Amino acid sequence: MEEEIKYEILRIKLRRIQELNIKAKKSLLKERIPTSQSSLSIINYCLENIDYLIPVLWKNPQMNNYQKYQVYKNTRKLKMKDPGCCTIV
Amino acid sequence: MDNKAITDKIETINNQISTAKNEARSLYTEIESVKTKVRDGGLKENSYKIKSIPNHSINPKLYNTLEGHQSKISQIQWNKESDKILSGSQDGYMIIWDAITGYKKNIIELDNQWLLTCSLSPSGEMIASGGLDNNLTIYKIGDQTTNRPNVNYFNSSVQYIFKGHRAYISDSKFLNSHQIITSSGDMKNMMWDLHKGDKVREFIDHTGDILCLSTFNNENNIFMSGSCDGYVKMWDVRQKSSVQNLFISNYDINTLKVFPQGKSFVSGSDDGIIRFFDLRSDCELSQYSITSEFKNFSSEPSFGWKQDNLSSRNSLNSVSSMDSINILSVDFSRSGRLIYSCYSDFGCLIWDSLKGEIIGAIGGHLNKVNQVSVAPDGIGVCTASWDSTIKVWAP
Repeated sequence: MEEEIKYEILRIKLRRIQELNIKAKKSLLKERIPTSQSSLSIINYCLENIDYLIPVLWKNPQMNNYQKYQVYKNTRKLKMKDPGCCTIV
Repeated sequence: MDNKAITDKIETINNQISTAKNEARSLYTEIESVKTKVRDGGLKENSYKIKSIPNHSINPKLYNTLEGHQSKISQIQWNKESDKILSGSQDGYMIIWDAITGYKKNIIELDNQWLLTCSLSPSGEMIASGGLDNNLTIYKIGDQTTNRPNVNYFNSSVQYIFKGHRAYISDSKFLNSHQIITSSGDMKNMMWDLHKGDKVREFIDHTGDILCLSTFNNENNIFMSGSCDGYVKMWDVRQKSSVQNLFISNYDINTLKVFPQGKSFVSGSDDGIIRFFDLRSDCELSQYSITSEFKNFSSEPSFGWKQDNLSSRNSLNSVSSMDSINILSVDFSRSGRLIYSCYSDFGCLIWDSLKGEIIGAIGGHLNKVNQVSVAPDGIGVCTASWDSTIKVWAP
C-alpha cells in the first residue's frame, strides 16, 4: 500500500516536470527582441506623448479643471463678500 | 510478486524523473543563454543622451483633501472620464467623490466591512468590492446627475454576490462593461460575467497567493497577475494556460502596472525594488532601488521635497534595517516617464522611469500612503492613506 502511494506521488512529480519542460520548450521558441530595441521604443513613447505632470517638458496651454474650479470658487467668495447695494440692515 | 512489480515501476519512474530533470536543466540553461544574448542595454544605458528632469520641477499642487472615511483606505480608482474617484475603506463604506470639487457623489454601504479591493466599471454604473469574506459583491449605483444634495447619496443596490474563491480576494479589475477579473489568496484568478451572473472561468498556474492584477489600456482580453510565488503571469482569456511567465524576485509582488504603451510593465515587491520588465524582450530593462539611490548621497540629499513630508524621518542618508521598504502601489504618468510609487515608510516617491532617479515626492499625509493612482487624462493624481483621507493633486 505504502509503495503504491509512493509510486503515485512519483507519477505526479514526473508529470509536473514534463509539463514544466513543455512550457520551457515553448518559451525557448518565443521570439525575443533585443532589450536595446524595446528600451528605445519605450523611450520614444515617453518623449512623444504629452504629459502635463512634467511641467518642464509639457506646459498645459489651458487651465485644467482644477484651476478653473479654484477661479470659480474665488470669484464666488468675492461676490459673497461684496454686499452691493441691496443689503438690508 | 506484486511488490516486485511495484518496485520495478518505481525504479522506471525514478529513471524517467531524472531524465526529465536533466532535460529541464539543459532547457533552462538554453533559455538563460538566449536571454543573455537579448540583453544588450536597458533603459538607463539607452537614455544617457536624454536630459534629466530637474529635482524641484515636479511639484503637483494639492487641490482637494477628501475627508469622510473613518478608517484605512484600501483601494482607489479613477473613472474613465477622470472626474470621479471611487474609494473603498475598512470603515464599511465605499464613496464616489467628485475629484474636482471634492464633494461626495455617492455612498455605498458594504455588506462586508473587510474590504481589500474595489473596482468601477467603464460605464461607471457598476461597482465591485471584494475582501476577507471571499465574495465579490457587485453594486449598481443610481443616477448621479441630480444637483440636489442628500437625495440619492445612498442610491445603490446589490446586484450579485459572486461566491467561488476559497480565500480572500486581493484585487479586482473590470475587463469591459460586463466582465470582471479577481485575484485571490487561493492562488486562482477568476473571471465573472455580469450578464450571465456567474463565474466564467478560472486561471490556475500560480503557486502562491495572488496579490495584484493589472489590465491593458487597449486590450480587453489580456491581463497580468502578480503573486507571492515571485512570478508575474500574463493571461489571455481565450487561452487555457498563462501566455507568458516572468520570474521577478523571491519576495511577494504587491503591485503591478502595465506601461501605457502596453508592451511592458513595472512591478513593486517586498524587497523594495521596482522592476521594469518588457514583454517583447521577456526580460528586465531597469531596476529602481531606494537603498542604492540613498547610498548615492553621501552627505546632504538633494531631492525636491520637504524633509518633513517623509513621515517625520530625520535623516534620509541611509535606510536602516528598521525601515520597511515594501512597495505598496505604483502607477505611471500619462507618458510613462514618471513612476509614482508608495513605500511603507517613505511615502510616495516619484521616479524618472528612464534615468532611474528619484526626482520628487508627494507628501502631506499623516500616516502610511498605501495607494497612488494617476487619472486617465494624465492630469490628476490621487493618493490614499491609512490616515483615512485621499488627496487630489494636479499641476
